Formats: sequence, structure tokens, C-alpha cells
Amino acid sequence: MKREVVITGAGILSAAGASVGETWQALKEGRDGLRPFSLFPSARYAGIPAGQLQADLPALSGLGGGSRSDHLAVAAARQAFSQSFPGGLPDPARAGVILGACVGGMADSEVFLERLLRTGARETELLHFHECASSADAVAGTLGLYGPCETISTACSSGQNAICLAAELILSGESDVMLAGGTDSLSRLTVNGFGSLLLMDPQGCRPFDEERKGMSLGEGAAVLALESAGSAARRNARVLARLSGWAATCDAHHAAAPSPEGEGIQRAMRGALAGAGLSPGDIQYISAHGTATPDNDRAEAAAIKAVFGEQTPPVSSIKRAFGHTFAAAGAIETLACVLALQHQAVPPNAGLNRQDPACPVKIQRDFAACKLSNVMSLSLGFGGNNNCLILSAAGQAQ
Amino acid sequence: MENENTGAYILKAGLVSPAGGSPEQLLSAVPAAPVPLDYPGQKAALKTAGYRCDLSEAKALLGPMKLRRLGRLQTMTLLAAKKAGLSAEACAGDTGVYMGTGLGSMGETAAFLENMVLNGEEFPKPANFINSVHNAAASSLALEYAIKGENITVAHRDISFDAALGHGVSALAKGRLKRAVVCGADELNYYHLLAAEEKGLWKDGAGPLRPLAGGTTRGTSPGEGAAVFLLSSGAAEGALAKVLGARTARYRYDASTYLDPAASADFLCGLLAACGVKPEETGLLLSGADGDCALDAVYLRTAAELGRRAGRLVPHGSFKQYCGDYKAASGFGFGLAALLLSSGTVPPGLFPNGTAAPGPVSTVLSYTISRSGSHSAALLRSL
Repeated sequence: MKREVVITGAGILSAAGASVGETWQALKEGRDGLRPFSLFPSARYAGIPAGQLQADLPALSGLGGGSRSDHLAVAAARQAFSQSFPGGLPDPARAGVILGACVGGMADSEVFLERLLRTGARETELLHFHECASSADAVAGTLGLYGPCETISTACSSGQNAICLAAELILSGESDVMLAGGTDSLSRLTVNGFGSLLLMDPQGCRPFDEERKGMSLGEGAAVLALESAGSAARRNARVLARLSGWAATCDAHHAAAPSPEGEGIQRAMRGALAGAGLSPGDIQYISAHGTATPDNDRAEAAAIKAVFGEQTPPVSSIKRAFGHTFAAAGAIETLACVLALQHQAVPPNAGLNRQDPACPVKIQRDFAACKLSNVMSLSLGFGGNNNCLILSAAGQAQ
Repeated sequence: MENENTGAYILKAGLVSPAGGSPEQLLSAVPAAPVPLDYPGQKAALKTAGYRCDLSEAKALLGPMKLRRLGRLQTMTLLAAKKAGLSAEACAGDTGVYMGTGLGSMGETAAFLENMVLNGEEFPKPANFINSVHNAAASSLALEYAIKGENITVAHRDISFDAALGHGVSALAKGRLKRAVVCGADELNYYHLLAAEEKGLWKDGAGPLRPLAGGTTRGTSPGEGAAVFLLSSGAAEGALAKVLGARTARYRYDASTYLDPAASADFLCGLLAACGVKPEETGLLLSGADGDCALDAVYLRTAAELGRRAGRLVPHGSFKQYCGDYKAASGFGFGLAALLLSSGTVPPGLFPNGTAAPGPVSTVLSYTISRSGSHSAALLRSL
């Protein structure tokens, strides 16, 4: 019998909310989750709009120690785990975790570096949770998972790639259950890095808007509980959605910019559709990567139009709700797609005033109820990385 | 019985290592002593010695213009790809990249942050930021060879390479790709060295690493390197060996034995069984033993338990005496395994003093334990 991957749990923490319910409410209202940035002192970037979390992260994660990214990951993973496995795991050796992560404990490493360079202090304990791998290890250790434990770091597409690779492990029969998603905190490296590329909009991100000037940064984590359909059926678990197709590609065009026509994105969409056995007409909603940089939105829209033609399904970028959360972005947006399927509604593209005519796709301006059977999530990253994932409604026959 | 339909063929291999890069150099290398690691201009001098790669060929092989835009990790990776003989033609069509790197582009990250701390936020260096992402080396490979398939970077401590290898082999087995460029690379970096030195993770003194030799001291010596392999789902003339499978898992930490040898042997036998290979068919266990007496002891107990299950002694060698300890070092071990299977030559330097090298081997089981709680393995067979 063909193995199939389903989603049986979801957890999230971002500027849009500290639970799945809060997140959906924020998305439904098209809420602007960006607030003046204040996480660390910055002469140049203090006060810019950012999706910074105010919550007591250690209290939410229950971790004794860890980086900000670790706390985010464990808090989100606990939500997904408790929804999916309230009675515990059937077999911990057949359960693993793959997280996307780019930043890791960088925020603490930056403090270490500053003190070393300014005073010579060697406070190496600040580096204890530096590695990106720390978050997946913390999740596995906290929840008692003894299957594969890995970290994917493909820049901003990490989280969605992690979900797809976790699904592959289930399809290979190496695991029955995988927690998968992404986590990243804000850091000076990313704020100054994207600032150095002049890719941040001082007014906050406005995806697909004619006046857009770039992204807004954020932090967060989202984790999904993936499971083989057989395992879910044996447990009588509630299936939230099915992963029906996915594909990843590389532009091989530029280290940091997408190919103008979105050629790699097109291949990813076509690959995911083929994997799902669907045609473009079967997709009722596309969650765009939609960073609001001029190049990204133009390339993404060009790719969508090339695959779907003049009549595209509704498209929205939800990054105004929590900013661009790097490795977590694809996981958060996949989770939003799960919610869209569950609620049979499409979240709006917040921050849009006048649509850029160079982005000729059907941008969803308002929250709208509609019949959704299959939805698509796009996630892109530095290095020309593209990932497309298709989710289908839980009850839909293959 | 081995399943002929699983696994992948290793068509090309390229290594950049402190012990050299050519197969001849590597198969005849004598383990050397680490060298002092000098980082001029840094606040604190390092006491640690390590194994550093000579990248002097990079200028000629990659070109000075390109070299100016690359960080050390990217340079090592592209150099290894050149040594492997990778070409755009060989990577045309359905090809993906699977990179394992534990720490990523540390040098570029540090350069960006040092500049920010010392010169303020007004004069950033965007090129350092672009190169700072963990997938910068995988992206460089895609750009260099126009590789347009999946481009995945795994950054999970010591299992990074084996995890990347597993995903690449899986993609080939499922028919998503026809070829996979699998890589493992990590670079020496001042801050990583300093932090580990403060924690006492490096050996005192500059003697050669002697893993599995019954040493009684803790710590290891740092190293670096890059390994690049071209894998194919189909056989081809000149292929070096076949990789039958690779997998990773968490282990249950045991305070008295670190990792229960029965659990590690279960893990290894699980991979063998999945590949249709019996424990007694294991010709060589090539482990990531690094000269730290505590970790070496775990590897030795694992080999003994594997031997018990095989009903005979399983020869046990190590490779970090050539390259030092770095997160993606199992990529170097994998390359050494492919070369020895291809040549039929088992380098005597793999074994501690006084241990005879086994005769020709046809199956190598590569095994890595990460102190963070995961272990990984890969299985190779001669053609």
C-alpha cells in the first residue's frame, strides 16, 4: 500500500500570536503584527517595524537553558505534540524531528563577540547554544524522540524544505512520525545583513504593492506533526490536512537574487503539481513567499502567471502579520495553509494599498470564505532555493 | 541478500584535506602532527594545534576574480568539486546538491560581525552577509555547474554529511533525480577554536592524533576539509564504489557508558539489514574516533559488539588522524572508504600502531557518533 503523509498536529509562535487559534484570528483580521524594533540597541535600525516577540519565551518552552530560537522551537513543538499525541508517542524510536534553522544562537554569539573585541572577555558560555542544530536537539530531548534529528539550513526556504524532507523519511519507511518546521530569532546579523542589502522597508513590508520597498524582519517558529496515514489511522488521530505534493529546485542564477522570470519557482510548482497528480486548475489558493522586495514579488508573480495563466487562483502573502521569519517562514506559511483548509477560507494580503501592475496575479485583499480542496505554499531563499508544497483537505480522496 | 535496486553509484570523488587531495596521496599518507594555528591580529593567541588545508591551488583552479568573492568554506568546496572533475555536462538535467556542514560559513559570519562591532552599523559588508548563510557553499556549486535540482544543506553537528548523503541517496532511489552532488565541508575558524579551547576540548601539545590506540587523554585536535561526490542511480564505467545506504538517529545517553554498545550495534545492524547485508559481511568499520579516550572507548565497545554479532572480529579503523576533527569529517572518511574500495588498497595508517591491516575489503561501514546525542552511518560496497 502506498504510504501517504498527513498532518495531525500544529504549533506556532510568532508576532501574530502564541497559538494556532490566535494566529488564525490575526490572519483573518489581516492584522499588522509589526511593532517598533527594540530587541537590542541599534543606532541605525531601532524603531523599524519588525515582528518581534514580547512573550516570556523560557516560560512558554519550559527549557532550562537555550537560545531564543531554541525556546521558540520547543514552545511550538510542544503545541504540535500535545495536539497530536496527548497520550504519548506510540514508538519513540520511529519518531524524529527535522527543523529548518538559520540563526540558531546568533543573538548570544553576537554578545560574546562584542565583549571579546571590546574588552577581551572570553565568555564562551554565551556560545553554548550557537549552532542551528541546538533547536532540533532541544525538541528531540524535550519530547523524547529517538528517530532522525536533523537541521536544514537553506536560508529562508529552510522550514518548508524541512517539512518536505521529513515527509520523505516517512515515505521511505524510516519513520512513522516526524515533527517538522522551522525556527529563527531576530539577531544583529540578520537585521544588519538585510539592512546592508537595502532590502528593508521603513514603513513595514507591503507585499505586491506598487510602492513596496522591501521586507520587515520577524522571529518565530512553527512545527507540524507529520505522520504516515497508516499510523494516524491506527491511532484514530484527527487528520488536519494531507501533504499531497512537493518539489524543490534551484535557480542557479545568483547568490541572493531570484531569476527574473522565476524559472526555478515555475519548475518547483510544476514538480509539486506532478507529484500530487494535480493540474493548476485544482489549486484554489496560493500562499506566496511574498517578502515585499521588488525582485522577489515580481519573480514570484511572473512564475505563478506562467504556470497558472491569466486566471490565477487567489494569492496572498501573510508576512505583514509577523514579518519575514527566515527559516520559520515556510513552516509558518504551511501552517497557515493548513488553517485555510480547515476553515475553508483564504487569509488576506495585509499591507497592500495599490497592487503593482508588474505582479499580474489575483492578490487576495480581504478575508474570504471559499471552498478549498488543494492549496499551495511557496517558499524561497538565498542561493536561488525554491520550494513548493501542496496541501489537500483532510477528507479528500486521492 | 543485498538489494541491487537500492543505493547509488559513486561516479566521482574530490577531496580537499590536510593530508592532500589526490587518491595516491591519501592512500599512502602517513598520519602527521597538527600544526600551530596562527590568526594574526586576534585578541587572544590560540594554544591549539590543528590540521589545516593548503588552498594554494585555488587561485589557479578557480581563478583570482572568483576567489575574491568566496569565503573559505565555499573555496574549499569548489576546489574539491574541481578535484572530483565535476562539470556542467556531468551535472546537466536532473541533478541536486546535498551539502553537510556543521558550522557553515563561520569565517564570513565572523567577518561581517567583526566589522559591525568595530566600525558600527554604517559601513556593512553585504558580500560577507550573502556568504554567511549555511547554504552558501551549496549555492556556489549550483552556480558554478548550473545545477538546478534540489539544493539542500544539512547543518546538524557531526552527522551533517551522513544526513545529507541519506537525503541524496533517497532522492535517487525514488527517481526524483538522476544524479546527486553530495558534499561535506567545514572550515577552521578562530572563534570556534577559541571557544572549544576554553572548554578544554582540544588536546594539549602538538603530537599526532592516534585514535583507537589506547590513549588515556581527553580531547582531540581540530581540522577542516571538503569532500565532493557525484552520485548516480545508474551504474557507469569508472564508478568508484556503491553507497548502499545512510541513516541517522538519536541515541539514549547513558551516564556510565555514554552510548550503550548494544544500542549502537542495533543501529548499525539496522542499516545493514535495510541494505540486505549481514553483519559478518562487514569488511571494515571506519569510525569517527578522534583520539579522545572517552569517545574512542565507545567506538571500541561498538566494534566489539558488532564483532560479537558477526561471529568474528570486524576490523576497525579511523581517519581523523589525517584530517583532524571537524563536524563534516565523515565526508572525508566516506571519500577514503570509496577510494580504498576502488583501489583495493587498505591504507595501514587507518589502524592504530601494531594492528595489521586487513586484506582487501569489499564492504565498509562508516560510523559517526556526535556528542550531542545523534549518531549516523553509511554503508559502501565495492563494484
